[in-house]
Amino acid sequence: MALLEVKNVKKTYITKLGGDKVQALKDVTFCVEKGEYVAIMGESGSGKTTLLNILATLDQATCGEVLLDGESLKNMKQKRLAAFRRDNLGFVFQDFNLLDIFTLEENICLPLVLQGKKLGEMKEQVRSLSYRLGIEDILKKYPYEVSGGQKQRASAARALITNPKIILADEPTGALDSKAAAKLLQLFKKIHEEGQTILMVTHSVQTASHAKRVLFIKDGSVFHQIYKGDGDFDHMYRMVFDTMTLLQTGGEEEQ
Amino acid sequence: MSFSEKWLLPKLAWIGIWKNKETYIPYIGAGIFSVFLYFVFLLISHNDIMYTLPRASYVMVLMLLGSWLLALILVLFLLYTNRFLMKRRAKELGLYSILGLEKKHIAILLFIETGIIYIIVLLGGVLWGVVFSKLIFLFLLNMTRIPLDVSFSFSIKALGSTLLFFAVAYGLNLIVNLFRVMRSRPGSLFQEGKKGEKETKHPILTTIGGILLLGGGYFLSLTSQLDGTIFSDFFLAIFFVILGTHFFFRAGLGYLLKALKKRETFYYKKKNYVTLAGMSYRTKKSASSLSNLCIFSTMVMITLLCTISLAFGMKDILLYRFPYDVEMSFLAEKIEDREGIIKEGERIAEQNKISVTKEIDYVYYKIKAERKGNVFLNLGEDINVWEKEGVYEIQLLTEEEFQRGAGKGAVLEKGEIFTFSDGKSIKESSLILADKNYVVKKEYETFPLIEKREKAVFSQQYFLVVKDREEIERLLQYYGQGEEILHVRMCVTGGEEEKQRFAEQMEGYIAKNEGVINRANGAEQRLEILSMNGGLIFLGIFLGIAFLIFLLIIMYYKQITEGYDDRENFMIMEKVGMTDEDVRGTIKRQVQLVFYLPLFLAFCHTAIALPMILALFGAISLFQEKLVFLCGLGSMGFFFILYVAAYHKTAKVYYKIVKHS
Repeated sequence: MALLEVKNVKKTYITKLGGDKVQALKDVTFCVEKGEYVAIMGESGSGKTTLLNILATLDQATCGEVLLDGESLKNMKQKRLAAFRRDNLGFVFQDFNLLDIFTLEENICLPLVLQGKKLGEMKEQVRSLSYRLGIEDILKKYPYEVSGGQKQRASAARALITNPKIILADEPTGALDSKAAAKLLQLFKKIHEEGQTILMVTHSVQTASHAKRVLFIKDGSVFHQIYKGDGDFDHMYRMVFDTMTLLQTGGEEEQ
Repeated sequence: MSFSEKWLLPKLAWIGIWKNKETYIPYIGAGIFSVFLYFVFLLISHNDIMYTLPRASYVMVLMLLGSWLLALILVLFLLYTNRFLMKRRAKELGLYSILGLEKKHIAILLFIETGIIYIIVLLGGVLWGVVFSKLIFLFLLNMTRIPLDVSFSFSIKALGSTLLFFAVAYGLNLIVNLFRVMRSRPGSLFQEGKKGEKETKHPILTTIGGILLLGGGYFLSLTSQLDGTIFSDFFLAIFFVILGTHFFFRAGLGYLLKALKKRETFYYKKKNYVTLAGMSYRTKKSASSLSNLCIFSTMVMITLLCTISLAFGMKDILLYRFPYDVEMSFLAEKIEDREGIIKEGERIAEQNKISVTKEIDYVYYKIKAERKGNVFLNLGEDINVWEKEGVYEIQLLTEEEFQRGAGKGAVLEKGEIFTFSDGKSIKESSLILADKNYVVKKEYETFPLIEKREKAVFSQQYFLVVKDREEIERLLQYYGQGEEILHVRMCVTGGEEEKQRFAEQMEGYIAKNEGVINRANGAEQRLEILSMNGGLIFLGIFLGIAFLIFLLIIMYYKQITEGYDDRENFMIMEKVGMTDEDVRGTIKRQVQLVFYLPLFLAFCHTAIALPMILALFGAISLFQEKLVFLCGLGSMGFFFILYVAAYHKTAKVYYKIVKHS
């Protein structure tokens, strides 16, 4: 059984002015197996963020079903959702979403505090994780004192600290320079190799090419997918790039 | 400069206000309320009628003092609200400066913005003032029992003073803001929203200073006595406690939070985690909010306490101060028919269909002497010195005069005296008068001729009863003063109006007598006291409501501004997995800390202030400790309920802001 199953998900918005219906997702179906590293690609407005929000339980699908580890997110009560997110999902956001009131260490600890973990356990987990991610030197600093790359690594640590079933990353390299982005992707590769399932959404070819599988979304449905297989990064990059070009020119033809 | 460039800054200023409505509306509201209060206050005290009204002078003085107090508080209040505003504007101003506005331009921008706010606030406040001032004025007249059939006029002078005062107040705010902008680098201005506040510079010194100041204020109150220094002590104590509270919270809160954060088993708990971090992130702002809440709470409670006590104790004050309806003093030698005066009193009473209930008359000789232990010395050259410690006014009576009413026989021997003090008892078994030892046969605790006023400190009098005229002559020779004075006092039945009529007619009668030294119309004087105390009660209600509204505005203001600050944080935390329940719990904890900490200290302040308040009440002859104590308890209870209600309301507002994404 797949870890994440997305079955015929549709999402329709009603605009505030005029009440027009806008179909953000038409019919999305795909699976993510345990231990996979998947990127979802698409242009702005393709529906990829909507999809991620639904997977993240921050939004509800109009039709269709999302199953995580066989459990449907659909009928879950609002009250349980936050706890479900906390215990099963890890988030990495484009703009880091670290809290200014906390040091990096405290930020990383936050999900554990919310879980009600014991202090010693928390400290131990943070120490070993920060060591793994190479941020043990900046733990006592506040977010405004460190660089974007460091913030994003702290944010990744916060996502990983609960040992989530899946990491959901929304444009994780979006606010980083190329060097910091490369470092973060290196980190993602490492945790993937340690067995972590990752699903990220991006429009950067460079970023997506690091994943083992890339799904392409266009106008609210899955358009194509590419497996990395045994090919190297350059090969993958070319394939992703070609597909994106196809996607874009195809889009123009349609208009 | 082209047209559009010229209007860019005013436009930006206006946009700045409009875009930040959520922050500016309470700021402007607070401003309008301040203008309204100040303007109404001035309208009332500048009113022409106030100068012509009988007995209004007391009220005028009170209003003047009140307006100074109000001005001081308003300036502090406006500075406080301004601080919140600037913190929220910092980011926008930083952005402008990054986009190319020079500091000069930002200064102009702030100037224009302040100007716009000044105009809005004055228009609003003055308008409300015009609408409501007459109502408030009538209320004042009613409180002070000043006749109501007067018209109320609008005063240009009051308007001018209001314009000027708020120009200064907002000018001060502008200067503070400009100073901040000039001092900062654009980048740091931009960052201001993000960065936590700097820690207090000298935490230990500040804490010690705070404790010393608070202790000083408390000490002044606990040791206060009704004497010449009570008023200066009172203001000193207020000053100490206000400053002390600020210091105490500023340093103390930092300490407390640090200590709590260090106790990791406590800190790393769901309900404490966010609250503690959030509060230490903005310790300074939290501390200033907490101390303001504490100070205003104390002010509200003390004002409430005083006003209620005064209202309930009024009747006693009046009776205490003027127990008689008519008091008259004559040169005894000029009066041939002593009984005639009393008879006339009874006749006038009868005419008015009332009767004389109490009548006292006696003859005495007045001297002044300096007391040293049990020795009374001649004042010599210092005869007109009043302020000197130990100088007493003494009434000398013969035993015959003393026993007149009681109809008892003579019991005093030569060399024996009765003593009585209308204030603190003399407590001597013998007195040396005119170099001769007199044995005190008895010190009266209740004297037939005059009431004991144990707690009165001002104008204390001693009464000495000696055997006969011969003794008095001897004493007079030594102390060198004293005329023979006939003193008559009367009380009649009936209401205040009838008493007044009686007193007036009696005055008319005695005015015909040659030897009148002094006459007092008790009914009239009671009215005077009533008018003064009525003014105090009005002031109490006016300021009490003002303080309360300030308090509520501060509470509300703090919650909404922090709500907007925290909104993003809560959104992130919800994404990371904070349940709605956790959010509510965290808010509850935060609001609890913020609201109950200052309330607790405010209760302390109020309780400690009681001795001083009692001493002050002594100055207006309110000596009912039990009443004041009960009123204190009542005020605290009432305030507590109000406070808790406000707390629930603001917590709800905060929750709404935080949850509304």
